[in-house]
Amino acid sequence: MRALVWFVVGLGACAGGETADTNGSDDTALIDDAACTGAFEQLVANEPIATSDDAFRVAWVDVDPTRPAKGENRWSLSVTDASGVPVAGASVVVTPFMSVHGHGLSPADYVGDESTTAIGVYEVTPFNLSMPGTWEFTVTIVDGATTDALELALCVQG
Amino acid sequence: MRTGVALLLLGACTSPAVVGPADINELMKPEVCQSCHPDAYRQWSGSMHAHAADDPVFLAMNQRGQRETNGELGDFCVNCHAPMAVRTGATTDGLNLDDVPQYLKGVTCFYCHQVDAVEGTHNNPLRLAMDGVMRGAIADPVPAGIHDSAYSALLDRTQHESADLCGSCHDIVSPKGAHIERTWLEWQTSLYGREGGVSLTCGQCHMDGYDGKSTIGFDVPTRRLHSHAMPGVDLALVPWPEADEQRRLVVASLESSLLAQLCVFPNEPTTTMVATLENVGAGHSFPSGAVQDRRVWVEVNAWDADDVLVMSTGKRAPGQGLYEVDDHQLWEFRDRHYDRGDEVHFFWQVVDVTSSLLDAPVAADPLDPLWVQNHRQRTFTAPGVVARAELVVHVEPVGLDILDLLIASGDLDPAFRTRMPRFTLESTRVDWRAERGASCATP
Repeated sequence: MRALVWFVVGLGACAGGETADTNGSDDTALIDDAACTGAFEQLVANEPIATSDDAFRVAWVDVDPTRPAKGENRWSLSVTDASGVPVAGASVVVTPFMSVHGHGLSPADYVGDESTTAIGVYEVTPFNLSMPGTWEFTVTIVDGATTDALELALCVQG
Repeated sequence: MRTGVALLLLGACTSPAVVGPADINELMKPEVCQSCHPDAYRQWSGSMHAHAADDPVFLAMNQRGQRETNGELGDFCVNCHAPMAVRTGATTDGLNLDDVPQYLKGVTCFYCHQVDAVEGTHNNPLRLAMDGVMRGAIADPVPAGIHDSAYSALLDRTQHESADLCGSCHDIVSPKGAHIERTWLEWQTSLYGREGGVSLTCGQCHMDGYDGKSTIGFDVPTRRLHSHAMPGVDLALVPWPEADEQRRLVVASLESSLLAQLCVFPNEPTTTMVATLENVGAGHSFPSGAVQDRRVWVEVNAWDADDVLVMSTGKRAPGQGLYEVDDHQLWEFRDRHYDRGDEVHFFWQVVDVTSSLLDAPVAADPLDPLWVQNHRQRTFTAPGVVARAELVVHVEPVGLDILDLLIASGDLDPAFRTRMPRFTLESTRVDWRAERGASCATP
């Protein structure tokens, strides 16, 4: 079983062109934040984030690599309703987009396949982030007649 | 004596206090670097930098070019493909590379890590310090003993000027003054070449980061390092280290470069199909580099309701050259070279260039008029009502037609023709079906 992961992405603006501190072994210093601008989200393993209309809660239960990075990324998401009850049989789609450059990926959307071992956990088709920088990830959930989504801006390291 | 020095150097990483600064001639040898930097060496060993002077197509072109220019080509090719061999006087024209020590061939560790200035804009204007101080991206390198180390922004991929080091070789003006390879210029004028938040350097795309220790045998911290595999589009045509990994990296890079769309409007007497390609992932044109030789083209097929193929362009059998078929709707992206109106095929002949490439993006805002600059559109027609249509993009690092010219002149072994890869970019495969109605489809 893959260990639960904690990944921290920097908060606050990071000016382009500044060299990340590479002097020590401090975990946060390993983020190549020179390619990211603006504020971006902080994610904590298993800490649910509410969708925009509060219909669902989404938690990242497994992430590889532990910080989003250029290249292939694998996510497993837990989806519950607002009261915390796992949502089975939903449509879960992740759409990465890089607004600073005005492009997404091809294909644009990545579907979450429901886990056979955990109710409400969806293993998203691996997506290949083509470059480092700030990316916005939209997670769209459709459960019956209810559709809701959340959007996160994350620093993808190079 | 030499064996003794080598053994001392190889032992340096386990007992750094024993070995002092190495002779600069030893530092020129990548295998000496390998002893302390095994990961970087392994990554580099599979790169086209390491392969640059061993590539049979390069050797064939250089041979033919020297012959057809009566030797006037000189070190034009090897100045980039074997720069240390040129700097040390081991070669003046690249015709004797079989006799040149392997450690002087290709673009080596020593060459890049000794650069202390970029003194021009093309054709390798790099100045080497030749002082044995190995420059890199680490601001506070741990003292090595075997060589001094220093930080250089030219080797720090997070710094904008690092693109100067790469770009000044990946930008070529031909002997007759034609700007035939423009990768650096393409990047500079793109969205990615602008300093500031949106900028991405060559290294940030071609040298992926990973967490690790830069050296073995020393007490160094874990840092954010960068791979030296440097994938582009070319692959070795001869047995070469790390071949599978290099192919994997090249495919991943190509597959993330383009967005494709096919809009189909079925009708009588003809169906109109509008194909759109967008270069979103390459920080330069697509293709780039030796764009007179590279082949990038679009395959479009359409079928009627009885599954009869009613229109086809760009479809080629394995081993079939792009121009071996009369294909009046062929949509391709490349440069063409001319000398006084006549088309020519080798870089030493070219005076004028016409270009049709997928430009790198220059604007991120769809409302910016420049946003469309990296989009290309082509309209195709098919007879009757189309029920199914598909599109996909193919890439050949060097066109089979170019290889055929080198084979015909006796400069290239015909066996290499079958080894030239042809990439089909699955990320561009679009499949439109009539159930969608008149509409646009994406992968």
